[in-house]
Amino acid sequence: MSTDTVVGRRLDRKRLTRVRESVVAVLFGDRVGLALFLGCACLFALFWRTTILITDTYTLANGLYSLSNGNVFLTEAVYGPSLDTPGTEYYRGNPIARNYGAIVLSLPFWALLEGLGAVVDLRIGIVALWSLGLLAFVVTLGRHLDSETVVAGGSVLVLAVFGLNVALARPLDSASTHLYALQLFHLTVAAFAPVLLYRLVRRMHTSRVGTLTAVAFTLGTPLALWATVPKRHVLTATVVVAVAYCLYRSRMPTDGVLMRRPATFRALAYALVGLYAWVHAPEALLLAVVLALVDVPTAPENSPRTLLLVAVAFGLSLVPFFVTNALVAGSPIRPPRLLAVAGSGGGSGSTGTAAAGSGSGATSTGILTVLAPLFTAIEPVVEPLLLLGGELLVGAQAIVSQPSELYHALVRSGYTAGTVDLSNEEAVNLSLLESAPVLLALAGVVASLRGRRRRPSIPSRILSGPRVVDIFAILLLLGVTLQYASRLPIHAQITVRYLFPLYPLGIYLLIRLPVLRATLAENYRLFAWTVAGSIAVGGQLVVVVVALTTNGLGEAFQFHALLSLAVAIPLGVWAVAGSSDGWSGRVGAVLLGVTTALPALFGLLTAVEYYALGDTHALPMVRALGELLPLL
Amino acid sequence: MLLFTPPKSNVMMDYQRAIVLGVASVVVVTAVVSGPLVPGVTLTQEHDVAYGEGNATVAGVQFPDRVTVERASYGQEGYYLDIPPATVQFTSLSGSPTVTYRLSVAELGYSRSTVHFLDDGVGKRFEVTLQADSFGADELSRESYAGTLDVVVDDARSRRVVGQRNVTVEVVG
Repeated sequence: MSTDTVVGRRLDRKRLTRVRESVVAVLFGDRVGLALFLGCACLFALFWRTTILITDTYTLANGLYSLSNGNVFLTEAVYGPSLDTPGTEYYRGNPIARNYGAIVLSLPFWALLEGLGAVVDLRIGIVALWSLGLLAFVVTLGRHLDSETVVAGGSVLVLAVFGLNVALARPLDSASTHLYALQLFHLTVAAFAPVLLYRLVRRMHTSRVGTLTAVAFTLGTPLALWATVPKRHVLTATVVVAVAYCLYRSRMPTDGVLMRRPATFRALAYALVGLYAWVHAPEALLLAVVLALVDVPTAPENSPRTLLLVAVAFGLSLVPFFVTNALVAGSPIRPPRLLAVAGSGGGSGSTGTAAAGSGSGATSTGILTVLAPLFTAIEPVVEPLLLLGGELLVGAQAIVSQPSELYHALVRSGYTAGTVDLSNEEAVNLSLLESAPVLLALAGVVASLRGRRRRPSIPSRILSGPRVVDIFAILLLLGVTLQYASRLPIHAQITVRYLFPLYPLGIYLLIRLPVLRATLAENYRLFAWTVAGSIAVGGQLVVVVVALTTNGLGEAFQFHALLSLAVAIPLGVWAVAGSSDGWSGRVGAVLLGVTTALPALFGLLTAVEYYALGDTHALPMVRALGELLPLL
Repeated sequence: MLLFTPPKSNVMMDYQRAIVLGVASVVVVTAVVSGPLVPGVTLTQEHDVAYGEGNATVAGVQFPDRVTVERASYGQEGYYLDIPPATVQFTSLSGSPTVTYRLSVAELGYSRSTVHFLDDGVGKRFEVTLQADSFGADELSRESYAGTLDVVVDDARSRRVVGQRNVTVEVVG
């Protein structure tokens, strides 16, 4: 062996390390981001049940089945009773699936699972993948903490857990890989949401604040519960956070390895929205409008070159969407779901949509008829905008005319026509606050405003990165609420999933409040121990109370709801009082810790017990836990 | 960056690396062994038992004294049926018979049952439970109803009622 090859090999290894570091930097930001991704993915897998939670998923699974056989139209009902499942539309007699973006992007996951199934037993394969992910998490965490104990001890623990899972393993139906692929795709995208939120907040503040934000988002909202459910909600959340991140980077000098100009990030923000249109056009439209409204007026420069770059990126990102529309609906600009709003009154909802949905269609078509001659040329652009405007208007009307409905959706669910399940028996649809009680800390905005003196000067047109993202978050929060206000509360929501983007946006705004940020940063150990203690010890108490005092699903859900509110109210009071000093800060950290832990507990019990869905958990140990613990 | 890292505790690094690689290899090898590449090895076994087989001789059944329908709490409306478990005493038990615990309320045209699948792990005393059920707020008009609880055993011999008791279903709250 010559010295040349040794040097060459060393160089190769160095280059390999550099490539690896660049990949980690681009995808996860840094090692903490990578650890968050791995940790979240492994956590979400605990909630994974290899079956259907909401009937809409049949449409997607059959869509992926058809696509894997080369058909864009639905061919046969491999999943579910028939092709007539919620979300299926017809074009010239051909059944069309929905959320094509999610279906197409799940194809690689399907190929992976099929490949895996060819060499290993599918159940053991999934358990092995999960164990390797956990091992990678342990190693990343150990390296970050510079702790040999974490690496070595963690590895041994992973081996033990792997052994336990294999010992408990039962076969997994290898025919349903399309469904598993969809679930795995959604899980993967969902795991990026906390990572992106971490990266955003780390750049604005510190790495520690970023990590705490990601933890609060992962555990303190229903993210984990929805991560493995093939509904668009976790995709929306990830896209929203990613757009906020790009918006922020577009206002800052670049320092990364891939993007050299801030304007590129601006283009990327629009491209993400365009790509999301492929999944769910009506929400992407709202996102595009809010983004443009916030971005263009506040940008440091709007030169023709920059605007062209943004327009080209947006246009290119819409290509898959246009191509799919052209294939399934005969016209590039007619997404089946947007048509549905104008046509039948079926909104972007799932199983059945409230009558108000058709109201939005009627309003906008009314305006359209009057102005039709003017808009013939630009109709493709104007029509969707009018539809969106109509939807928001109907939402605003609904808030004014029926404020109690919104109260049930946002604050207290209880037993009402909108919050019970389809058989009208069990109140199993929680409100936004009951699903994420930590959000009541947003009441701290009162304290922030009180402490601020009125500024006499008119603020500059060009806004800083944090300010732009703040405005984007607030506007989008209002927009999403208005878009769905007329339909809420409605069944099959569990945690107001239509308003899912409100969870990351709320957590982001929460951490932007100086008092909240200081409280968490200064008492992070207390916060972390409170979260861990509330889940480990408080969780057992909750299990006992549920077992002793509740007889059914509705009672159990409403118990969780009241528990959430009971802790949220002191948190709200504390936030209004607004002090992070001394004992007040410690009280705040404890309240934030408990409110962060409660949704994680509710999510776990929902996945393991309330909606165990025939004990179909992907991980054998979770299934065994559910079988050991008969609660209701 | 890497150039300036002091070459501290190479032994420790190697030992860590060995553990991590060792665990990863065990995971991968186990997965491959489970698959079609290594025929004859199955790591996932279906819990495949033919139920309703075997033999069960029942000495007696102890039923609860009282069955209640309680008003739901925590903001859930209507009522929940709460049936305490019954205890089945076997004199002999083999194979995998099933035991069904059932409540019928003739006046409401209502009946509900939960089937329990027995296997080797079950002892001489077995507690059978009945899954809770809910009633709408307007479905119950009286304070009590006459009901019947019974336990049915299904084994290789026959399907038969091994215990029965009339109970009063009280509406509480």
